[in-house]
Amino acid sequence: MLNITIDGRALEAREGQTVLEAAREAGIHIPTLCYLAERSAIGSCRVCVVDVEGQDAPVPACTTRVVDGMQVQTATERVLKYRRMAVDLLISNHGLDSTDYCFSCVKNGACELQAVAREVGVSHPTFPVAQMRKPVLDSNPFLRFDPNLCIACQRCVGACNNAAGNHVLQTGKRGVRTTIRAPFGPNWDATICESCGNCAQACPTGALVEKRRGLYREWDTHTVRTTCPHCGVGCQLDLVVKGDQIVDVQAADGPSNDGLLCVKGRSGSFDFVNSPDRITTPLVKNPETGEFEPADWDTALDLVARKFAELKEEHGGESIAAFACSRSTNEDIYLFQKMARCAFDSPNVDNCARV
Amino acid sequence: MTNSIKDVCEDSQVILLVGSNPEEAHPVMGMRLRQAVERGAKLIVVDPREIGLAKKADIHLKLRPGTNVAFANGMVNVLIQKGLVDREFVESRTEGFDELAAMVADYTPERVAEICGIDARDLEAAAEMYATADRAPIVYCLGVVEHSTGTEGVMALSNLALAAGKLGRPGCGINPLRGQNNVQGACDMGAGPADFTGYQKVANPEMRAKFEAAWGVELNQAAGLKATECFPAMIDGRIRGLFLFGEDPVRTDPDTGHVIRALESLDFFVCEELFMTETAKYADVILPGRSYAEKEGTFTNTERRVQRVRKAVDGPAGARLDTEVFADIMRRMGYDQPTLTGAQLMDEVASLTPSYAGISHARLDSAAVAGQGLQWPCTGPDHPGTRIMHEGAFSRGLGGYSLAQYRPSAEQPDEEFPLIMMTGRVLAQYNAQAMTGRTEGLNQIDGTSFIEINDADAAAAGIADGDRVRVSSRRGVIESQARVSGKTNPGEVWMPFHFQDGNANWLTNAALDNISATPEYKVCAVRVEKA
Amino acid sequence: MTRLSIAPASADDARIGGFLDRQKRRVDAMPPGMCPLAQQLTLLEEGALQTCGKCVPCRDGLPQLAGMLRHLVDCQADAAEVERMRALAEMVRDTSDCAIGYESANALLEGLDAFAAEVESHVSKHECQRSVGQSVPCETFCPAHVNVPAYIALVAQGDYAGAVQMIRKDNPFPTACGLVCEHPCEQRCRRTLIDAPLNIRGIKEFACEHARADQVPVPKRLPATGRRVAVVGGGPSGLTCAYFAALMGHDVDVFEGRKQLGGMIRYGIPAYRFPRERLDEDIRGILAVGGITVHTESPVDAERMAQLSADYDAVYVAIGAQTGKGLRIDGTDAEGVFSAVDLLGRIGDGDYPDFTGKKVAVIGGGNVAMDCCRTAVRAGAEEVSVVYRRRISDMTALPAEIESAIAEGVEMITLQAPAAIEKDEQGRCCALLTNPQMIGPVKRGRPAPVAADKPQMRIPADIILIAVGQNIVSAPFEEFGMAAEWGEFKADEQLHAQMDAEALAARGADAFAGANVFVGGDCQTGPASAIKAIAAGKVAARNIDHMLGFNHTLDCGVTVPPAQPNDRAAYGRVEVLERPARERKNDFDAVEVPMSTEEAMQECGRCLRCDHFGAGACEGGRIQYA
Repeated sequence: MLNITIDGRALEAREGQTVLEAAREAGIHIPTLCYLAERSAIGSCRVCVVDVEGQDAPVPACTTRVVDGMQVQTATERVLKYRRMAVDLLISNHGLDSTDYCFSCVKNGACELQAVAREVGVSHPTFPVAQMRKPVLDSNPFLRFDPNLCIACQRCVGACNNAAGNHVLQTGKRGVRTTIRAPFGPNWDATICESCGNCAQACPTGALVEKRRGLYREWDTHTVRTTCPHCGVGCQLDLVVKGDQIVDVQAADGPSNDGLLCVKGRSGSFDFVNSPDRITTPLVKNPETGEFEPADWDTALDLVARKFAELKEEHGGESIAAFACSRSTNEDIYLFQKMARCAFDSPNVDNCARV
Repeated sequence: MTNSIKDVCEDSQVILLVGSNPEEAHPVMGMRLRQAVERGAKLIVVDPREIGLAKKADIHLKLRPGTNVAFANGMVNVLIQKGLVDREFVESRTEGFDELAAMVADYTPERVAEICGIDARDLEAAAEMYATADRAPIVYCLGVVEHSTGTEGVMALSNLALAAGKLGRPGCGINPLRGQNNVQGACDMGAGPADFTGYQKVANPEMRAKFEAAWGVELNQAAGLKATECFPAMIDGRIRGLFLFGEDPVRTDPDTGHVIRALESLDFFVCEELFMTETAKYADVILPGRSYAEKEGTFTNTERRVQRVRKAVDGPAGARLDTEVFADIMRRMGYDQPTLTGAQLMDEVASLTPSYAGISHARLDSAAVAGQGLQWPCTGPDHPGTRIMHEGAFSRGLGGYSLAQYRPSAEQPDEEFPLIMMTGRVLAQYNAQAMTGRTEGLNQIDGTSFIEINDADAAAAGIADGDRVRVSSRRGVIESQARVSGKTNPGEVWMPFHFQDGNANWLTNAALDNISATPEYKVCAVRVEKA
Repeated sequence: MTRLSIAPASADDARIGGFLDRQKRRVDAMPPGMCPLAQQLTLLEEGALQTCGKCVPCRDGLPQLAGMLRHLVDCQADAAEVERMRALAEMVRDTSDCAIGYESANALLEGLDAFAAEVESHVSKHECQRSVGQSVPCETFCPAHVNVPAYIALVAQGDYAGAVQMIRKDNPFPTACGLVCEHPCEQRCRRTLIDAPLNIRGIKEFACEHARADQVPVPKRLPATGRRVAVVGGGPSGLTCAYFAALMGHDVDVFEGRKQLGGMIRYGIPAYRFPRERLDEDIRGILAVGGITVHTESPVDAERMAQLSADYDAVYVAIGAQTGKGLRIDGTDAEGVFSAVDLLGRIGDGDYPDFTGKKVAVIGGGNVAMDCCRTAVRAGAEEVSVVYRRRISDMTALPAEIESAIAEGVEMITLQAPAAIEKDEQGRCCALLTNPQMIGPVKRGRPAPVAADKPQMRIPADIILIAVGQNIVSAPFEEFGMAAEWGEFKADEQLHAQMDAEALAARGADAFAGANVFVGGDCQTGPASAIKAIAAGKVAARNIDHMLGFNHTLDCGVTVPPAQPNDRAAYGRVEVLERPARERKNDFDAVEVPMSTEEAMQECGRCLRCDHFGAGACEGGRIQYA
């Protein structure tokens, strides 16, 4: 363990930890913008700069490793001033006019740049504001990139390259014109982009978003942590619920998914729930017409119980088979097989594990 | 999985990936394997197709479909020849190695190369790379299982891991990637003819007695049939009634024509479903079900991790919780089943199942578990769960080898049907599309049937990339669109099984694995012609 | 895995290399008289364009700084904006991740300080300082402001005598400068934009080779004014002052302490670099003006100085810096240890040493050290080494001198600091002991050596020559009343000597004593170059003339040939060759082989005539006294 102090508080930190990690563990807040744990720590925004005793210039907390005896100040007059300037520079290049100063941005209210600006005390840019009207890339069915709002923090690049390991979303133009080369343009389907949206989840602003992001406002929703209903990896995700509708999905930091989701998990996990073609009433086939007719639950369940009882009676439980769904919950399946074994007296219980 | 996704991806030095395309079928696993390769892990891909990860692999064994057993036996042969067997592990932890050695003696690299259509030197290199690494997991998927020799394929891989001493340690193990979100849980929950919950054997009289006592009934003594065995039994009248809970075998089972005939033979057929599926159309009664977002429960993922499913919305009016429906039916049939909550049902499971004994909703929701779920075996409320199986000892004591000889797939190409067809998943879709097909964007990404065919075969048949083609097997004919590339070897084609506009399962062979009764989705003989 | 490629990571890195050379040449040819803020702007914009685009301070901050600085350069910024620029620059300096960002901002901050007067002028007067304005580079950077384009054009025409006259208009030592000038005129030569600076010194050497200075007539002396000027010191500065004062019609007396005229160019520079007969050509040319009376072996003490100041209308003190500095180490009193300037001084009067069979070590890294070691080679030494406490690249000697010394067999023993001189029983030196050094942090612009953790070194040596700098014998003049600091006389920009009131009072002189004294050259600047001393002599003559109430103008007698169109084809630069080392090291004859006519003509042909093209044609574009 290394002994350090942050803002005069003595702390123990582990070898290899960054100042930011040590501070966060100790509950000491240092604002960040470009840093995204396990995705991107390139130290580009300089919002997390802190003063370290014995160093002439402040250092970014996110990329500076702790050393024994280090004394860190997170809020000297100088670093507060520098943070303000860094955010000031960013919002001056943020295409504010392209969204009528946040008014029409889908992330308004959920924007980290907004939050950091408010925290460090920047309410308007003091540098000349770039008038930007760069074309928006939105041919991908799910994702949209608006370069006007991009602050080139490269969190999306970290998400695509370091986390998703896909290396399709890169920086382009470089230098003072650095922007993101997002594969969402007209040739989106010719790229190796997997539309997983980990980039969009990483974006702190409204630059790179799931298109559906515009359908709700942060404060209209709550989230429910659950497990993805697709493959067997068991990714943890948060369903974003607005009223009685699921409107979006965000990756959660589960043990198997480490904060990642795929396109199915992120974009294919809720439309079907809301789908208008859900069956909403029991249906009984008219033997005469072969057509399904709606029935009340009592009628339907009576029919089911009677028919299976008859089969059990006449041909034994072994004449009945019951196949459970390997998409449903353990609790459903347990009771289903119990129903088959106890009520149907059937030994032919199975699930779709093989198919 | 004997091990966990995290240690497979983060602690391994060499990853042996067999019959698995996680970038499309288990995409987040695919991402983490890409990370593993970038971190410096070596990757050996054993797959007939040029899958994305093959490009990142140190060695790609592009073997002929259906030859996994020969491959794995060949690996063991090389281990023995090169002195790479983990003698200490074999002697202290296993029994019957000599029999295995005798059995694989015939599987010389040269012979295996001939069977698999690979280079013997690549096999030797792969064996050496796998065996000499300290931490090397085997990761496999349906490319191993969905064969008439699928179980042998798994056994052969297990023999390999035992011989190399790669079990019971971090970053090792034998790790199947389960296809569906809760297929592990469905098996755990006793939804199989041979097992009660937690693989307590139906055939074991003690277990029978335990469950009969707990449930207060006398259970049927007859040996149960596996689902795939049930379809022929429906046609021959042994099975007359079917309760199908959210499955779509018309689309997903092999030999669709045969499945439809079976369903049409039933006296009474109930479906509990969210949607009017192809299969539901044959039902007598359809009961509306609840989706995963409308109920409390758990899923068990491929690494045996039990994680919570939580209710986010009520869902459409009119539908009822599935457990309520089942309990209601049970009561109407004279079994006194109270309506229980998900949490109560899990408590019942825990009470009957040693491997789930420490699992409850309350514990999963607790701060101590911190959203990490619990991996079974979890034998009591203080048991932390099991990250790695078989540490120190196997459940049966010494590990045994199952001798598995290579047998060719049930159906071989011939003059009439000259191509071997494999099936599989694409990234943007999931199985029968009941869920994914309702997201327009996913259909935009991949929404229609296609068939991958090698350039040479396409040229011979006068087929160009994008052409409509007619694909036929002994069982049926469908139309699809050709994707011409070098992704498959000459003589082999590949189709996704999601798309109803050209469903591969009209063609696939219902030949079953003789142990698990899994169909041979991965090999059938077809002919492809320009439509 | 991705396959590797031998192609460069960036397709254009190699091609950029070629253009980088152009960029460097563009920088090397930065015209004199640039607005320093405009230079800061190009530097800053270059920094901004080098950003990789990662970090906010560099990527977003530098363009904002550039915008503000452009505003300032355009004279539209106010003081508040300058302060905002400073604040942002501090943030960029302190929070940038890499040197591309922080050094850009650091340079700007230092620039704003260094050029505070220019900033102030832009902000409050909305214009550049008066001194800003481009001028002809060679002429500007020549301390004597010789009309370089003119004499090159004359050489090109074959009018070598005209060229010598044109040079002598500003500098009466054309031969000395042709052979040994450090040629600052070449440093920003505009020709660098196309290929390389002209070899101006070589052209001058060529001209003097073909029109000897004592054969080219000097201008006619102006009518006698009856004023008397005393010049103390017969070196390049004193003789230049004497030359111009005499041409203006004043009577000049030169007082020289040594046997012969020439100062350090006779007593400091070895003959193989500057043969004595060639020096005599310049001196004969100067004395040919008339009105100059030379008093050799006439040292001037305080009393004599007071006398001169009282007797003459004006006095120019140009005594140079002629005594060698010592080393504070043990054993310097050993037999065989000499000061470099003493050795060279004796040679100046023809007293050549014999080092046959000796091992010679020279301590120092300047031009004098090179002169010593090469002299030792010629004096027959068996083995000669130069011992220096920094690296070769840190030596203040001209690179060509170092190269020549090495070619002649001198070994450069670097990063060794003299620690002691070892003596034998007879008190003769036998070795130099040195402490190994490593190069360390940069201090005042130069990397400083620090002690290295290595064993002491012993360099066997029978002769040790100490060449670590020169001192000025200022005491008698300070006693007379002249103000000095660290031995260097103080003067204003017109070279009017500053007097020390206390010293004057101490010897009972009145407060106005010394008002007619001018001082310049090495004794005022510290040891420097011949051309700077010459320039000082010229300034002193002009200002003495002015003090005496005149405003004489001098006509050199030649006209400047009209300019020809520029030849824009790139050429290599013709260098002046030396005789082969194996041959030249055996004698004290001149080492240089002047340019051939073909070489000189090609070199002259490269001149872009900046006096005619570009700013040279503008008002204020010339630095000329006429």
